[in-house]
Amino acid sequence: MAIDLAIFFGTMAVYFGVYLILALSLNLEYGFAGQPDFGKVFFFSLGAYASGALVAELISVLGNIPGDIFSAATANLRAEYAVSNPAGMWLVFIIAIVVSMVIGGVFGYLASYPAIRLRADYLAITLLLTATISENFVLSTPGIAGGANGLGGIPSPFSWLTNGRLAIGAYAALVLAIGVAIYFLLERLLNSPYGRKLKSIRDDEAVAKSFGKVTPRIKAQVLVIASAIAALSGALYTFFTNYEFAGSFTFVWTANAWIMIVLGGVGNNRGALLGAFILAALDSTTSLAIVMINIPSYELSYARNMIVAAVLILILCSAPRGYSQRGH
Amino acid sequence: MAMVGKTILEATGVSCGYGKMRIVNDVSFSLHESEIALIMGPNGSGKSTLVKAVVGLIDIFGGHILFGTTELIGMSTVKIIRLGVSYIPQTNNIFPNLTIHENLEMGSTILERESRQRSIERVYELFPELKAKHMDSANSLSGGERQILAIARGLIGKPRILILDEPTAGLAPKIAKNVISRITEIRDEGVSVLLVEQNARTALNVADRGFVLVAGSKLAEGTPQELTRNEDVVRLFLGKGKSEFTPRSSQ
Amino acid sequence: MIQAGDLVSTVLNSFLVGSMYALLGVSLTLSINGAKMYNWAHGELATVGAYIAAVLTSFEGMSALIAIPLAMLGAAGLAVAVDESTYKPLVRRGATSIQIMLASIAVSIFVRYGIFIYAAAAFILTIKANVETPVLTSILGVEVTSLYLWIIPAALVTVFALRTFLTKTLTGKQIRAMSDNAELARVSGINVTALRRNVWIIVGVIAGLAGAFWAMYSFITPEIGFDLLVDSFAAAIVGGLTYDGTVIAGYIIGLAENVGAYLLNQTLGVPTQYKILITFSILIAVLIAKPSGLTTKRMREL
Repeated sequence: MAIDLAIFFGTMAVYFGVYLILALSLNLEYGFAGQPDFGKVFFFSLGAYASGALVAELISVLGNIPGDIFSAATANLRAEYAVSNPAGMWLVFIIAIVVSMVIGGVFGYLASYPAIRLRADYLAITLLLTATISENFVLSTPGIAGGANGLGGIPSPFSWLTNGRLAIGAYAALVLAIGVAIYFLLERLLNSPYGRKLKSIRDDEAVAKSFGKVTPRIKAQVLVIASAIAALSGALYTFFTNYEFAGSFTFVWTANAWIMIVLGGVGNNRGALLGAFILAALDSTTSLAIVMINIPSYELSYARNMIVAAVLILILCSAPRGYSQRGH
Repeated sequence: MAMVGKTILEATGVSCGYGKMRIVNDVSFSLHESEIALIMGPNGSGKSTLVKAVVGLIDIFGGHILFGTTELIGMSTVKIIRLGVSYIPQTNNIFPNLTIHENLEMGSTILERESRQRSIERVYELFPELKAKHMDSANSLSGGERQILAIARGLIGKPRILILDEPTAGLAPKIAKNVISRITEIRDEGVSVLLVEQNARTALNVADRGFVLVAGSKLAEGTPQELTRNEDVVRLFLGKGKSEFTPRSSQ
Repeated sequence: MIQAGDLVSTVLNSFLVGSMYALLGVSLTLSINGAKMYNWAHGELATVGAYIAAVLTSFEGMSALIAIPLAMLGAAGLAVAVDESTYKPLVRRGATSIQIMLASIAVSIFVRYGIFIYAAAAFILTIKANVETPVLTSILGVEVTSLYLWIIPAALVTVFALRTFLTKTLTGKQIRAMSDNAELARVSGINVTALRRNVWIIVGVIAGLAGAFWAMYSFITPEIGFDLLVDSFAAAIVGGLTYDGTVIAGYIIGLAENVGAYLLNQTLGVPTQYKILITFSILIAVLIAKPSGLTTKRMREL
């Protein structure tokens, strides 16, 4: 079976962009501001849920599509709408992206309440359990994201390009552009006086081992920004998969984010690029293998998760003392 | 006058620290039987680091530490303890969630099962105030009592060397004096004591010999009398009240 | 409408579940106190115990009296293997608490998906232990099976045994000492390395028992342990990381979760799937308002 290189690389590029944005988000939170977020997937999923909901609702209105937004029929109708109404679809896309980031930011702000009061390990526990509970909760509440069936019909804004390859390529370009933009914006921020203040908080905490001297306001700000970025990543991901399913937002996504920043060196955004690339390559190869080898896809994704976990353990174990020490 | 007995611990050219940080540079000192040797110096001079090196809690960059004929450097902490070297850290030196009796039992780990109870009883004789409260949680003890417990724990294993890191730190003068006098009792029982103290005046009163450490290097050593005649030492530690100091040997 | 029969059934069930939460919480507490880390792979110890019990009783026709100890052994083996291969080396390298937590997350994923692969290949993505649990009696019309005789006494006996071990034996006291201050323990001449291994064995044994029981209680999937992490942590933290407290917390959470969910469902129509939110709320409330949980002790920094 011939491998469609364009689609393969296009897919990998999209994953790279999505992963990069996620990694940058975690790097900001932990690498620079010292907040261990073990619930990253929660904020990521918010972007997905928000996008899904908005797309479904807005297109129902704009495209005059009645009926249950969670049904396959309306999903198909939404896909058709996107093909024939590029302008409308772009409007929906932009609104969804912006709202996703806002919602991410809001929850990031809410998360700052425990973040200020709890010490690092309890914060990590809280966020991790929040993510677990959230997955559970959304799965049980069909109204949010289609429960156990998920929500389909979240078309790419490039659907109007009838050439599938071109559509993927264009979307990849968009995601990469956004990723690169965020990268540079964050680098700018971190080299500014504000950024230096962040780093001093981080280093201070590492030495002081207590939350006493840190400004709650700055923590909240960092959480808001980082969560908005994570939600953006989730939104961009959803527009690529065209489908959202609460059960897919597992621990593994959080682990992905951590692997990426650990791979490149925590606090080092350039390292995040490397991490994102490796993970994207791994995912694409896995997807390819699923197509080529005749193993059920879930078996391969289990194996992929094991590989990623093993890699993380190896990195943590083989790092020289304090390898995961913050970058600059 | 105190007789200088056999050398029991000999440290030569010891350099040690944490990771890449060298704190102590090329320091030599020795400890004799039935002696209290005092290591004194200002804050940050490396006193604690140096004695930690004896029990293998620190990174060593060079030198030798001989316990009798056995080289201690490179040996695991547990093995060193079992050889008969006991170490009482300055802080966090008791198990707060265990009772006094249980704290002492922890010190008895290195003994044969038959000797454990006997050793604990013997220590209770030395420290009757601990026996009175032996079922109490160690948490409930006052600062002075904690120090006593910490030292008592270190004695259970019948050590030949007892290393004390600032046992009187943070204690009221009267209590500090009590602790110091207990230490002389311990020395009189035949245990050699390596004492690190900031409270130089009180400690010099009971020490047999002293070593002065400044910024990781040895500045001076000698008997308490010799040290009090050393102008640098006096200036650094003994303040103006030279007359307050009465070395043991001249009493 | 609150029905007496349903309420009784829910309360009884809460005691079953509470027992298992107590076991999970107590073993987690021991691992936190003894190894000074938060082990996110704790759930997998229970999952391994659950699957061993389920597979041995279902496919090998083994009696539960043999399968359960084997399950406990398997979980203990996993606990030690993970510590020796991952956690201990990290501690030796001076890894931070967050790095070790991260490693435990990776271990959790690795083991969980390894079980997934096995379970998928053996077509046992969901399975239950095949143990006879005849009905013994009935309270207000609610059947009480022998499962109650298995689980509740075993949980109480296990915790009692653990407490006795920790307070009356020298090794147990050494473990408590190590939990207080590992370096002081070493300096007292205690072989901390061997002691740590023993801690993990005990942790695995108890968590494995909890898992085996769960497999008898309900259908399990490779995610069962992970799903139980919230309750495990809740029991441990609400219990203030003490053993007595954790047992009590386990039962409180079992009751709050199940009876609470039932009551909310009958009075306000809240779907029962949200019961985990009750547990979560309790946990968050405790973390923020009274981190020392049910105890009066100050929570030590790890």
